Amino acid sequence: MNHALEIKNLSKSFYKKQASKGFFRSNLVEHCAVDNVSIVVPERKIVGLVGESGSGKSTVGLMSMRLLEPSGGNIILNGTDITKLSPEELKPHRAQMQIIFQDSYSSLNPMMTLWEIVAEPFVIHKMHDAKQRRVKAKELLDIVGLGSVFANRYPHELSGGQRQRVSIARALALKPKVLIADEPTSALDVSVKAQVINLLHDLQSEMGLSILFISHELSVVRSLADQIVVMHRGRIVEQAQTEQIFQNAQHPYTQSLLDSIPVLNPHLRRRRSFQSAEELTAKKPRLPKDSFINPENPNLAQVSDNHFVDAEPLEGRSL
Amino acid sequence: MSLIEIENLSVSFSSPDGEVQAVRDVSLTLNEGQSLGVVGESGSGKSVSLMALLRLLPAHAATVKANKLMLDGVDMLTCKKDDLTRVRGKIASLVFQDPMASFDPLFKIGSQLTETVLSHFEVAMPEAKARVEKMLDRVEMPDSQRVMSSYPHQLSGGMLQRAMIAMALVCEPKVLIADEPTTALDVTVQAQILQLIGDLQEETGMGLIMITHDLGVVAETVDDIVVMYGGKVMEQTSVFDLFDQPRHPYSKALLESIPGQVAGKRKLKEIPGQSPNPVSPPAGCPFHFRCELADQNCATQMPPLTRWDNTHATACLKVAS
Repeated sequence: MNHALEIKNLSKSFYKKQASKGFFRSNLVEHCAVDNVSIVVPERKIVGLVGESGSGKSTVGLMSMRLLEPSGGNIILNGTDITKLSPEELKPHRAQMQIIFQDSYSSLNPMMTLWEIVAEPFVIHKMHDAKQRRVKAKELLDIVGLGSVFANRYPHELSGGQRQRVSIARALALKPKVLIADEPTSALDVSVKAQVINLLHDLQSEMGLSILFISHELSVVRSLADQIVVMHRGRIVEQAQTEQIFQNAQHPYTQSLLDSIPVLNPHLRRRRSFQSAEELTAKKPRLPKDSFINPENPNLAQVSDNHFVDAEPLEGRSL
Repeated sequence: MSLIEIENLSVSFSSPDGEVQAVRDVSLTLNEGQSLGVVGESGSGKSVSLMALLRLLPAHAATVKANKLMLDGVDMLTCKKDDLTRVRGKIASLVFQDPMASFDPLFKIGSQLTETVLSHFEVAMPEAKARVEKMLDRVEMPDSQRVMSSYPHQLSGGMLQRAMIAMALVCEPKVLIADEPTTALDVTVQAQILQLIGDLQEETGMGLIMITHDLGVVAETVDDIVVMYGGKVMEQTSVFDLFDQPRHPYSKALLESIPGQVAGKRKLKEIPGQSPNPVSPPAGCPFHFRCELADQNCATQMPPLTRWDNTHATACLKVAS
């Protein structure tokens, strides 16, 4: 199977100044936000990237778009390594990859009408003439279920769900192959959330999109993603097919995430016991040495076909 | 005796576009020790109703009308300003969604918590401090000594929310109103905070109102539920009945649209359209243009809240008949 987007051993460190002796002297303290992360988004698949705040999931999304420079690793888009391309060289590749953000209010220019917003990618990539751009923008607004009556309105006139549809329309304007969706449904109300999830569902199958869906909401990811990657403190702790994660999670951290989801059945109320992240990581599974087959990420052990988990190597051979 | 009695509450705000009718004819009661979930989407009027009860809405912008607005025997409609400060915090206290915005960034957590005790009780500083420390232990705050001498920005969201709950409970109120207390938190922290609120309620026997948009949260925490939509009460029921047999079409649709309930990648049942405009709410049922069952009458007639028995009521023409 072809890979639409592949990120290899991606890392990102941020440096924080920490004052030491004297006013002018300070130490730089390294904070590793993303540590050696490799993810593959196969063509026409949705990969859910799940983690709590601070896990580095959004940083991975931004780096994949090269909106943030990685400290190490490679980003391969449709077979081209785009990690080191200059801005001019990158531009044609950018058209193939688009991003949607969580806050649709701050990601749409309040001074532009909706059709101008949706047509802006055409302007930047010098596609079509003015008249055609307008027609295309209206078509796109139709596709995301807004209708061309919205063409001349401004972002502030819309509800959160409608604005998120505009973001999606803009992201689709250049017919990208890869879409990175960074918490696109987190700010939406329950009834509207389902609408946006369904829209992404339809667009993915109709347009053949490959999506990296970043979210902290496991329930949303379950109904949308083919595969799930779980991140914790900048590292991948588990990755597998969606239902594998939900029914057969191996890592204690993944299990605690799943256990924390509120149960929609008052008859099944129960007390939970909580453990700190340190306790959970200390309990990570121990697996035989020869199941660590992934040279790119030596911490991950294979459990079954596509199921990898962060584990401790055990001496000796597997049975 | 009822702790909270709200009868026919309406709240409207003036805006350049016209009058925003945020809450329309809402009645609800809370008994001692009862836990009630108020569920609704943004703009459903769930927060505004309880802010109106505590008289926290700015008088120049909000018009509050009600037949009865009672909090533990105090008539909040005629209550004087001095009495209000006594009621708030001591009888009813609030926990908000964003703990970072609710604390003063310039003061240490410890001094903000002791201030609450000092303003409600005639006690000396050491006694106030002792009470605060005891309360921080009860909310299972790790490292409570350090927290006391920290500024809000030095704590994580989960710890701040614990401190917020400690501040709300340090005066031993009769009712705790939690307005989306876990929406800004991670799932694992959310589970911890919800369990903490449940434990504290059981220990102290206080009343609890949990305002939330998340049906999962109410399924885990409360006994009774009020479902609001477009500023109106749609359904009143026990938590078990809401999840076992929701009667109102809105409650049903809401439950069905929650993602991740069943295995597999699939499309969800969505509620078409969007919430009604509060400036010119529809004449009939606020949900009628998104409702599968709606007909002509629904568009013109406001359905009354029909009681089934003591605990159940539904505002729907289709279900009542």
